[in-house]
Amino acid sequence: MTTAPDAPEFAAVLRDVGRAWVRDGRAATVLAGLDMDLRRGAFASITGRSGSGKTTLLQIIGGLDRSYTGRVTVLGTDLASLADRQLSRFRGLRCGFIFQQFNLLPHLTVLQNVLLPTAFHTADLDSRERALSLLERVGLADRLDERPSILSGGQQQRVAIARALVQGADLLLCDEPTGSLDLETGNRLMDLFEELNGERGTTFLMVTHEPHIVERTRERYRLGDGLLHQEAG
Amino acid sequence: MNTGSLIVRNILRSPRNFLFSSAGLILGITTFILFLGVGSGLRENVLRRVFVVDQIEVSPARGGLLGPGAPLTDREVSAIADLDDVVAVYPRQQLAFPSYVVGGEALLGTDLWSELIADGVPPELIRADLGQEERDPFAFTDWEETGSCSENLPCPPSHVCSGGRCEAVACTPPDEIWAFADRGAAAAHLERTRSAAGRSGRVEIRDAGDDVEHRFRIAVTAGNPDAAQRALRAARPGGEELDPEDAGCPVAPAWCHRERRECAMPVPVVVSTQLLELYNSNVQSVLSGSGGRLRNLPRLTAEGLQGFQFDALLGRSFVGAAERVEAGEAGTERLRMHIVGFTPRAIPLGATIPIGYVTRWNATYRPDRGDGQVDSLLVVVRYSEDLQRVARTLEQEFGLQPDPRYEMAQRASLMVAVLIGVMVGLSLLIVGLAALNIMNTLLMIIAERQREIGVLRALGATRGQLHVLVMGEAAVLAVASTLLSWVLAVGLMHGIDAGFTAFTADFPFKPESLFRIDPLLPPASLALALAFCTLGAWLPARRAARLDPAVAFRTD
Repeated sequence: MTTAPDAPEFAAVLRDVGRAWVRDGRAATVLAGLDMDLRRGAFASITGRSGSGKTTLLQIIGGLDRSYTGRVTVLGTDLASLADRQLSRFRGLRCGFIFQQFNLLPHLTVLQNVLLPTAFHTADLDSRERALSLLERVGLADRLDERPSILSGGQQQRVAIARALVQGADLLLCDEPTGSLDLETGNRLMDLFEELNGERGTTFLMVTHEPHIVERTRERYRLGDGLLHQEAG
Repeated sequence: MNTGSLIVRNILRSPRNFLFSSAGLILGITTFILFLGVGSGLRENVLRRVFVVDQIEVSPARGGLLGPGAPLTDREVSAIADLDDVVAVYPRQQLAFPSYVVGGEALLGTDLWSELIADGVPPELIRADLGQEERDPFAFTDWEETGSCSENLPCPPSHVCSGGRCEAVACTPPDEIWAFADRGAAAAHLERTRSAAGRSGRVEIRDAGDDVEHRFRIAVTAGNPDAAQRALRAARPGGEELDPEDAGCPVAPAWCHRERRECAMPVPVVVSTQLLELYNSNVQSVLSGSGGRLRNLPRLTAEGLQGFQFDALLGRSFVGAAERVEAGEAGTERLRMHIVGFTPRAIPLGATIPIGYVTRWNATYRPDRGDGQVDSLLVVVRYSEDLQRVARTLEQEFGLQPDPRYEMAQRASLMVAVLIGVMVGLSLLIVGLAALNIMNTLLMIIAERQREIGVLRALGATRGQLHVLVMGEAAVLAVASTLLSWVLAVGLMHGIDAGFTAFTADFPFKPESLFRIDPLLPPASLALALAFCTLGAWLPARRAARLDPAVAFRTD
């Protein structure tokens, strides 16, 4: 590999990344010397069998897991060089997360959930305007004051997407984003992902085990034996 | 969206948990407020009213066989006034000869007689205490010494300023009348007056010795001027030509001095606040249950007694003529006195008057006493906590002997301090237990919200912000609990006070309220609640901040 880690055309560059767990007193290696070059604006998927380390890799790239070896550069920033406070700010402003279980806060309204990241770091003063615009974009402009519990799974995931983008994130890390949705709803969500990727140039990195999702991505990675293998898109 | 609104929304989402947590806290803070309120009330009622703990009365130590000690010198008094922590020194001189006072019919329905016990103190100190101006007619002023006058320094009522000096207006005592009549008519009038005056009065006819129109003066001495006037009025036949002339003095509170036949100011008297309390709670209460003529004595108030006048007879004991001072040395003198205020600096039992009067009277009636001799000192300290140290200095360095009430006050002070300490300790224990409860609740809540905390971390929350979120919930809980505690505590105070007033008999110094809210108590209660909530929330907040954010990715 010759790519410079902080090259601006890359959303994430990983070099020789390793991660081991200690389970039941025994060490288990999940990532072993993993390399990755994820271009900006990519629409990528990672597959692999259960326990292969897909979610761990996502957490490392998102700065939530720091117990790795090797070098991880995301959006031109070496994550190891950031203190916890800076890393939190990095997550809050530049990365967005989408979880399989949506993880909306049940006591907050749709709009409040979308605005939640702005409680910790504010990119600018227009966050409310942007939240409203995003909710309109994901088709939920008429559900602002409702609680997530009365929304369908697809609607909840769209709220989560708006929340992930409200601070203007350049990179969206999605962990089984359609895992809790039926096929049709999942496909509609992928339509939205594609549109956002096309409109905004937001980089999408999705962990999934669903073949029809993988088929819709342009860059496809498979994780196995602790290493990442790029497959033909 | 901001951290504050997140805190409030978090509290509102689990009100039951917080209600449960706040119940203990409210109980603790309410107890704290009530206990400190009653402690402060005790301090106020017992230490400030019963035992005035910021002052001590000292006198020269007794000589051999309990004879009087050497009198205090001016230099000693000045040295004591210069001591650190001493804010005022009131030299006192006792009235050293028998005298009595009589009066009260207008107020009590009957005249009362009493031996006059009086001390003199410097008038300027009492005036400063009571906030009085020197020439106010109802000020604690030695009117016999206010000779000079000017535009800015007016004369007392019924006096005129003439050549820079105050001159008394001439008057006829109101318990006398002049009758234009022959001796026979005067004698008949005399008989009627004597009959009206009854046993209480001495009526005499005096020949004015006018050659042209023989005028006879009838003078009545009947306990007090009011009774004498009543006797004169009752005896005066309708239509009879009597010319009472101008009686009395035109402007109150001046009165017509019988011997001098000119207006004089009443001797101002300040009375101990304790004496009024003793009258209302003991004398009045006891006598109202008796069948005697004193059973209808009213309750008295400081405001009602302001300006109350009574007569004093110097040189004669109430006990009887046998106690009269040697007639050849001094006669008797009737004076008018009036009450001008109530203060704890007055002697506990008796009248406190300007020291100049006492000095002059003692010089007249007890010329054997040293001129201006100080019998005791009332020493006032800045803070009651300083009293013990000052008392020791007065004993050891000046050889002065504290009044026995000082020891009692010290004991009472110690008891109150111990009581307050125990009560505060108890309330702190309750608040401490409430803090443990809060910690438990917050730990439980954080365990329930692990995934949510992970999500917040993924969305950019720093450890510090998570810490603030949890501590903020505890702080809101503290503020809300303190407010509710105050509502509860004030309600309980009113209820307890109402019950106390309704179900307990009168006793000396019975307070209107058992409680006193110190101005520092509200902020102190809030600080206590915040401190214990912070303490209780610290561990849960730390735990929340250290949670692994990867929990957000769990799918279970």
